[in-house]
Amino acid sequence: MTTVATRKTSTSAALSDSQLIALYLRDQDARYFSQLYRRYAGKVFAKCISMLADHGMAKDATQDVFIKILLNLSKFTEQSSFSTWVYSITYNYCIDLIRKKKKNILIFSEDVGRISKETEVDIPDSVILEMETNRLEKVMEKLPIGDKAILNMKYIDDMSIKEIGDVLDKTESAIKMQIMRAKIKAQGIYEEMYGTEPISN
Amino acid sequence: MNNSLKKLQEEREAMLPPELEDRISQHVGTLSFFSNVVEVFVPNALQVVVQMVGGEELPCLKKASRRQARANMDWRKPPSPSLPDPA
Repeated sequence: MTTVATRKTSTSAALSDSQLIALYLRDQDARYFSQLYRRYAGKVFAKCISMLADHGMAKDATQDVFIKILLNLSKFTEQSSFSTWVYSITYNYCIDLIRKKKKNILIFSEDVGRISKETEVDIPDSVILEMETNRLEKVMEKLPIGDKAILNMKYIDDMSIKEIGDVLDKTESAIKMQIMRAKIKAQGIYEEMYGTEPISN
Repeated sequence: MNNSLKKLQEEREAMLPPELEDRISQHVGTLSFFSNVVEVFVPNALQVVVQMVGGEELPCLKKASRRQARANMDWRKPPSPSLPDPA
């Protein structure tokens, strides 16, 4: 019996996400879902910490996100990859959580006066990507939650502009603009906190 | 180019609390138990209600009861011949 169970677990490690989902839906065997959990739990938890900036809240959010995934697994249509689907549930869950907790909170940084200026300025990705991790963590904490989500989707999950737009229900041009605003905001926060110290080590 | 965001994500992934897996597998177990309960008892409960208001047996249960009858068949008795004996 134990041998069979061990064999099943070791085989499931080699299966693709779609195969694990199909087998879980067919057999309702928790081991297939556990395998999916092991693949994505770390990433979901890291995203929740990044978005919510609180370890306890991130833990509860990760649990809720996985229950949501479990309940909606039969609705996954493979129009996107499973990872994109999981991350979109995570980002939207965290944004909704913050929206419910703080009624008048700003989800995305909006600075209408700067739009015309922004369209002329191309902010390099190094503003975010080459920042020292401890400093980046502090800068990210001060960004609005929507900006954090957009930057994570673009620079961690390597999602396309269209995919980000689908997740957040926004147009591609709105997403491009929002990425630029988020980078400007991050640069501004860095300058407020660390003055003219260089971004990279 | 470096990617500090990815580095930060990797550091945070390592902080995943191990007890979370147990909590989630408990939920998976509970959900699968309730889905089994629904699957087994709801059709029968519906059947009772339907019969109480004077309805017929539900088609899904008709199939199940024929299957049940086959399963309870006495294997010691020879099956009745379906074709007439040529002799």
